[in-house]
Amino acid sequence: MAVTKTEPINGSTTKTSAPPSSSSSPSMSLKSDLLSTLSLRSLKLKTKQQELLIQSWYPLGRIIGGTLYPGLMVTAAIMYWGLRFLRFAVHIREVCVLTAPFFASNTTLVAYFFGKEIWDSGAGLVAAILIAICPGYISRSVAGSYDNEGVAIFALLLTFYMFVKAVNTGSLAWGLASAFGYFYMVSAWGGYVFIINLIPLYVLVLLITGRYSMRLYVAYNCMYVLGMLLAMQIRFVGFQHVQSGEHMAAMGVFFLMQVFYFLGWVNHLLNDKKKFEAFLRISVTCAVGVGAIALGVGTASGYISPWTGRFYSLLDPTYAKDHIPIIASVSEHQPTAWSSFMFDFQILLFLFPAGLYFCFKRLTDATIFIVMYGLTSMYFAGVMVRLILVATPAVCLISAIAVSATIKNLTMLLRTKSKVSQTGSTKGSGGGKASSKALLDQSQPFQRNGAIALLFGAFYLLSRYAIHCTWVTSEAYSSPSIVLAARGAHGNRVIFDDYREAYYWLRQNTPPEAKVMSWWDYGYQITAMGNRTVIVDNNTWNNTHIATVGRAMSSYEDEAYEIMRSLDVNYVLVVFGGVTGYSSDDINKFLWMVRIGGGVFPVIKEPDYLVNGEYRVDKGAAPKMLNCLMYKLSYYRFGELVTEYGKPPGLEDAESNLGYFDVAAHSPFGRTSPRSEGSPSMELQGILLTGCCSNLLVANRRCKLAPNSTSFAFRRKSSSPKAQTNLKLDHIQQSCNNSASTAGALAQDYPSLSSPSYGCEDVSSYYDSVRGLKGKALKKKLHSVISKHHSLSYKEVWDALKFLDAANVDRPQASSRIIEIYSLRAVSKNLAGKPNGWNREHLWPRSYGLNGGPSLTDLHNIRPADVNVNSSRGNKYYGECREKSIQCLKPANKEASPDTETDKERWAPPTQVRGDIARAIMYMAVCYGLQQPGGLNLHLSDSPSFEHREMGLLSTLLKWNEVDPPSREEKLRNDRVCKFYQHNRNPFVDHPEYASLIWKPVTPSHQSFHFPARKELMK
Amino acid sequence: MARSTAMEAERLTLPLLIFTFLTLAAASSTNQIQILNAERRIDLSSHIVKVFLTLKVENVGTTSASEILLAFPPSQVDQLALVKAQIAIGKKKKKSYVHLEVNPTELPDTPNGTKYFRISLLNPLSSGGTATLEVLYILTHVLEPFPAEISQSESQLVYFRDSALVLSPYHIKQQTTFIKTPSTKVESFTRVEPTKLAGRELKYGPYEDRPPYSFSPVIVHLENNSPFAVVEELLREVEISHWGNIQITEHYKLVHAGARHKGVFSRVDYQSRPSFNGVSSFKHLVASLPPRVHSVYYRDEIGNISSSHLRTDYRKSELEIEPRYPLFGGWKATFVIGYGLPLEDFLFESPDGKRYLNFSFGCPLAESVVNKLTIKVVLPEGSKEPSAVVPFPVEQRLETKYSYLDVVGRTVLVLEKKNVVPEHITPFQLIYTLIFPYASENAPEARFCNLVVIYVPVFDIDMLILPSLSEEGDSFTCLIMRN
Repeated sequence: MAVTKTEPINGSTTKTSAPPSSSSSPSMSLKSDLLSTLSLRSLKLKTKQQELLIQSWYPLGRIIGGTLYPGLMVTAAIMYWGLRFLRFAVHIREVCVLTAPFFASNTTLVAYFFGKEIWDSGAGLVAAILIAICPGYISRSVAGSYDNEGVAIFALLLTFYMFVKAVNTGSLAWGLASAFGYFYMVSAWGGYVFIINLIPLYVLVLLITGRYSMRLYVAYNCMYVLGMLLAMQIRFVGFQHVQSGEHMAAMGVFFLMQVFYFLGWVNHLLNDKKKFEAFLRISVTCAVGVGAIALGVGTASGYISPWTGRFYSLLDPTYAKDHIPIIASVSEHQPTAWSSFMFDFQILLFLFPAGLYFCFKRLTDATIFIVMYGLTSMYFAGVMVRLILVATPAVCLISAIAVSATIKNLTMLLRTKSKVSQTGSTKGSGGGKASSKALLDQSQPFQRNGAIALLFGAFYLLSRYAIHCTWVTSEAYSSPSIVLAARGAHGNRVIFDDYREAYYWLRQNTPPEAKVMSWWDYGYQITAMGNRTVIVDNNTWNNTHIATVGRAMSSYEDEAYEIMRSLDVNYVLVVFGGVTGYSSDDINKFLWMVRIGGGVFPVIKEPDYLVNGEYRVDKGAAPKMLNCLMYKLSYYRFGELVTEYGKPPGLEDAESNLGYFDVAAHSPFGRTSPRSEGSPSMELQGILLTGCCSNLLVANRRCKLAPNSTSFAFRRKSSSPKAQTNLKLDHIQQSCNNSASTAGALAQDYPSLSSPSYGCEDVSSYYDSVRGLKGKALKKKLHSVISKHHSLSYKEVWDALKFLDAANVDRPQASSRIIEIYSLRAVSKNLAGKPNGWNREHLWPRSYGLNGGPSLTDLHNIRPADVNVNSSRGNKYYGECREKSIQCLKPANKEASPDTETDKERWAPPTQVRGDIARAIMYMAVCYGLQQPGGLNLHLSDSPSFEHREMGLLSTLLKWNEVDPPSREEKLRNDRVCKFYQHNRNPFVDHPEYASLIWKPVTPSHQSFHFPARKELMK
Repeated sequence: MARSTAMEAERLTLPLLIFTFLTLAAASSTNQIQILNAERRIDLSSHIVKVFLTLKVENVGTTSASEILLAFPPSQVDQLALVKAQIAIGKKKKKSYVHLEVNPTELPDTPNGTKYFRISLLNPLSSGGTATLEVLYILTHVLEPFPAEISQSESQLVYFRDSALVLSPYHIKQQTTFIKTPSTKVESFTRVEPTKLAGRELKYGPYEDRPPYSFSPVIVHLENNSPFAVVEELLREVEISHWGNIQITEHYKLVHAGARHKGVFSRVDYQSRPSFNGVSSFKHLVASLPPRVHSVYYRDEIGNISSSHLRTDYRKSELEIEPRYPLFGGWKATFVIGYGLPLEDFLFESPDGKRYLNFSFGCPLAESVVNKLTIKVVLPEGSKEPSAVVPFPVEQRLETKYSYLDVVGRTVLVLEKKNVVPEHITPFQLIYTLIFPYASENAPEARFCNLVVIYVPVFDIDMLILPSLSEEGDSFTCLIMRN
């Protein structure tokens, strides 16, 4: 599979791709021995033919010439030497920083000439203007973006331009020039595959549409043959042009061209239609047959390699997701959203179809090319975000044609009209001419005004585009992503420079030969800024390395330690944003580590880290999750950090895990010194742990962190001088606006601590009156116990739910989220009643007889539920699907928990809360179930109906009650409803056995006996 | 052959004779001087140890003495950054101090390799006369951290080793030594009675009538949490541009030379309880720069460091810099500070066409020791005969540097000094002349000529324009002028 396959790296691939199982310790030790001999402090090991860079892709090393495109470096070096020769004392860094902008300016020039070639000079000028400021291109051509794409887009457009020029002129010189342009492109970027496939495709289209000409023959042959030979000089590309399936289209078209030419010649010689047709048939069959056989033999013998996974993933957007998690994990490899198209193209997106229209109206060889370039690149841009870059020149050119042609037409209209009117007014001639003139004159002001209006509209649009581009460039592409900046509460700028702080610390204070393990996102940065060897870097080719690191991060500490020892790792770098709420930290990327690690090493299984298919890092997290290395490193002593201030953590992700953190805090790592033999030799550095947050607190500022999705405000509560030094990270609240009110709420953890005790609070005596009763009598007595209660207004229910169903049951007030009943998801309290948030779900639906009064607001019956899930539940009664029902949906709703199910009438909640719901329904049936004047007369039965107010299914509810006994959360909730709100209890939570006593006179079957056992197992 | 060796031997004997004579004279001078009272105050409050020595000397010999010798144990000589001496002139109210010249000197058969410094008196001390000398010497790298490795929560303890008695070639009648400690926390100290510890002061003495070369080693173990900021290497590049600017670029290699940091570093502890955590670490430093400074930057290999503050007033500018991370024992940081200064504040021209540059020597960072300081003064292209006047011995050499559009390169005067302390921040002068005063003073034109020389031929070839005679002539004169 493409997943496990690594690119051949000096033949030692097999060493890592053999999954080192944790049990095979001898092989492990052998490997570490082997690696220690490998880890000589030799930067470059000269082998027979290749230089090996040990530092990168440690410990396997990397062939320098054979694994990178040298174009960018060579370009920068030549520019540097040239400037030095001219006595400009520039630093190589300055050259590198300005390489991309320099080439971007060249690109605008090429765009002008290209536009001129395919349309006219006006279109060229507009194209140059559009591409000069188009955000899609600026994203990769800002100063400091020293990336292959920086020069590659220039080379791409230049090659295309020169090829089109060659096709238009049939000039050998332009063909040669385009071959050299292609060579430069090959040397610079892997995207050259686009050229070598687009140009043959274009040629093929021309052949099919009967546009074959000698010009085309010269241009393509020249470009292909010379370009191929030149491209083979690049060591990274080598013989791929004749050996790889991705390049075979070009070769096929090349031979097809020859056949075409040959046929033309034969036709010319024969000069006989019949004979030629016969010859055509034979020769075409032969040619196709030979071609097919050659391809088949080549592929079968392995001479021609099949398409790579990257190629597949480009053609098929869903391929990467299923087969190559490492590609899918990169954000710029995601399918493009409409918003990013709008962000990067704005009006060009609408001008593009218009431009296509103009192109089709005036089909030439050149416009066919730009149309094909535009359409194919737009498709690729839709597949991957980063390929917007490739589409940008085409979109600009085609849009430029639209703009230029429109404006030209309009101005033409204006000019000719004024001329006509002048001539019309000065000359007075009779007859039909005069009448036609008059007609023209009549329509003239109309058209004229329309043209003027349209021109203004066009200029307005273009100026909007200019404004948009400036804004995007300044907002999104001008600041380095490694330094985060935010606005403080006073409008001052707050800078978070924690990444560079960590990298620079590594650079200065670790031994020069130290190896750093981190997730691959930080590889290049550590190499460049930290100047230390990393295990994996941002190159997606070293998949096995990345999987090894992913495996180490997601293993238990002792296993991870073995892996790290075998890799000779000295330091581990982990980015943790839990304190400041920085959302793209390692714990958020952790699922990808698991996924990529599991892709190569089957010992890592993603479901082990999930709870009900859900990724959690709080108390409810999976045990494997809580004990893996990444979790322990991230939350090392985090509990301490929180508890020492004696306040709830109040952090988004870390709200309900106080108890766990104390356990997690004491890992064997961190306290040991580096390089001590026999003991774990990793050093945990807390540099990144809390950097910016505490800096801010030291500065005693209020700040609002803009880069995060949610904004937090830090507040210091005490103002005494001692407390100023003793920083208190009291509380991080979600918005500044309600800070005053939350301060009040903080002071007390519960709504009313001073409330007097109620009868319901003494559970033992609460049910004294029902002792020994059964059936109807029990129900009646229970009703009298529980029906008298305080009733809330429907509005008060919101706050009650926020308290009762908080995600952290131990600190409900501090918790910022609630748990949705059917989804079992924790969502923000602030989303209450929002369109995408949660609302108040009546477990006993309102249509089953709840007509206002206390029954409608009974807290035992109301739970928070996702808006969509709530509406899809509607007023279905509870029950599992009928067996083999076709309409049974599982899960019941996209946003519901996976173990829910529903069909047309029934609804089954998640197994975890089935008992809770059953008991709530039974409570309703008891509390509002007795016939009395004005009573609601709710019932339970196996045949539910609205009219009779019968809810069900009774048998299912009874079963659920047994299968899912009351949990701690449920009991706590019951207590709190009693204590703080309604002052009554749900008897079935305290005594689940009442259910069968009331509704099931027969003794329970033996089945129920082992249900609790199953429940135990599930735990 | 034999004859020549004899000649050589003869030639050698003469200086030898003179030398022995001189040393005998010197030895005799040690006997004729005695110290009536010696008071030594050792300041240990930072990692730069300052010793103030007040000597009341008396000439008990018969001939007048023109110099006084200071003796140092050999271990201290390498750590000695600076020795200064001054003499009090006048009495009481009209008292003023005059600086005296101090030079290292060699004496024969010195006990245990003692090293000497010679203080040359302004007026020879006549027989029976007395004089009061004030000596300041500064020692660096003498505080030895013990324990050598501490964790984040511990405070730093150091050993200070010295003698309870002033080492001197003279007889000392009465002497006292005061040691000022940075805090009241003194773990232990050697007792040489009478010894007294009171608050932040440890007093040894008074001791009476000690013969020459008396020595009594003491060890003081004390707490010192002052920042041990040591710049291992400092390169200051001063680039003079006659366009009106002096550009200074300073490359620092900073290290915390205190007790090495042990175990983990916890940022949480460090910032939540600063009084208990990382007391020996430091996180910001102050560099004092000249007034009217402009275009200040503070960066390192990976870019701008965003934490610095500049305060300027008309007398001085203060740049507060904060390294990317707090520095604990053994941690390093390298960075670059650069700034521009107006040329007219520092460069002067004498009527004979010589240029005088007055600039300050030493490291702008407060309270720091520089192990190796290199100052490179880059003079404009076409400068010659540079010479530097520095008030203390430094190594000098010349280099050539090529900068923008240079043809022959710029003369660079390199000054090097080891073990530099803040007291070395004194002005030094650099004198140079220009080969073609016209060329450099009108530097824009010179540069333009340079450009023309390079580009005109290129354009000529490119555009196939026949160069007119005048153009050719112009560029030719430029060429001559530059060379």
